[in-house]
Amino acid sequence: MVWIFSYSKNDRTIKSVQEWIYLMKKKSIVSVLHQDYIELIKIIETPDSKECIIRINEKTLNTKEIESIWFKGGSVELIDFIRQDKAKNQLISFKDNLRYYLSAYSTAKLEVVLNVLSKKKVLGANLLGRFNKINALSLAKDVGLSIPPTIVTGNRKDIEVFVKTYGDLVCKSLDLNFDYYDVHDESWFHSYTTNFSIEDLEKMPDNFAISAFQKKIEKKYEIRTFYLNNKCYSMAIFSQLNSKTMIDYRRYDSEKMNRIVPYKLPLSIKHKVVAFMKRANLKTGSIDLIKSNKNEFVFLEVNPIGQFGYLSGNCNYYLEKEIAMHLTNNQNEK
Amino acid sequence: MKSKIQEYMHIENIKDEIVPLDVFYSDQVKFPKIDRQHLERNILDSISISLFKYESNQIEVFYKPISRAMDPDKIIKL
Repeated sequence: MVWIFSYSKNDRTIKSVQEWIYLMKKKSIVSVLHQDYIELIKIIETPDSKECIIRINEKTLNTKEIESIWFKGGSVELIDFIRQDKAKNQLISFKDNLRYYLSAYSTAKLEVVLNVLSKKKVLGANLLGRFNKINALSLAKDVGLSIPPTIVTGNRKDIEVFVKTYGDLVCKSLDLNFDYYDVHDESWFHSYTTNFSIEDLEKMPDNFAISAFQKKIEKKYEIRTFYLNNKCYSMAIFSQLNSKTMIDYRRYDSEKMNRIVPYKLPLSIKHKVVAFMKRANLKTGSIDLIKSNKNEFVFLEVNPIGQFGYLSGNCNYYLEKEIAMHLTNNQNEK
Repeated sequence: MKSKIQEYMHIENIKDEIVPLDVFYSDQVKFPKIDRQHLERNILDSISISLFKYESNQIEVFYKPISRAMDPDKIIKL
């Protein structure tokens, strides 16, 4: 199957290419127009396969069937609450068109500045901590790391099937964790990876905003690895015995802190982590892994601006010095 | 029982169905009030590496002592 994204279905060049494709290969062609309604239905990422189901103009398609894509105008735009007008086939207003133009204008200015800065020696990513967790899983799988089976869906029945297949789940964010500080209440709200039980499933509506769920991996301990210049600095966190930290060690228990020890990754895992970071185009970042009860190293996620002070201080890695040396081209000084 | 997050959403007139579930599972964390004077005094004696985006007395636990050999004047404050 060949997908062609375009502005108009009357583009003669596109029609001609379509005819050639059909004549030569008899491939089916999906023509996606600029105003078409594209909706993400679900993504299933398991160690053995990946499926992405989308809907275009009421037609459900599996991306597995796509052989190639041609962008001849148009773009992939998912319908969600931001683009509801488009979903309702309403004409985009002057204000929305101008907003779109100004957003491109604003991005262009930013890109120029980033382009200038990118010529410098850069450490870290200008991502404000963003890194798509599902795409990270795909990359990790590509380099041979184990990953937890994952589903991204907004449908309760999909989760029921997933629970039957994989058992207990956790719910996590697709990208950034949610953060909010209530000034009046003087308290923080922060989303963590959370246990997702059958009881939670029973309380859910049939359809909800697309969310990410993973098989809960029973673990011996967690491993946080800070990556810098092809080196991995790791610590093992014994978070599994504390109910507060067992799903996400960042729910620190200040009364009874987790035991933390320096940790040396097995060479094969280290090579895979390095390969992952290179493919992810990250010069530095913090990688979360689990050592499972089955003695398997399972990749969870990467944070491109991950905090390392905790790791450096507890394990005496002097990472601050390593970074200072990196930024000042003083790599050989010890 | 509605979560605090749902309360905020309803105040802002945001529909539940557009927000991913992980947001609803946010934890509420309260920290003791910051003793700024104490904190500033501490910063003079140390290089501060805050582990969190927020400040609290608790992060002092994670402050690393500065090398006394370091000249504080060389630390440029913007």
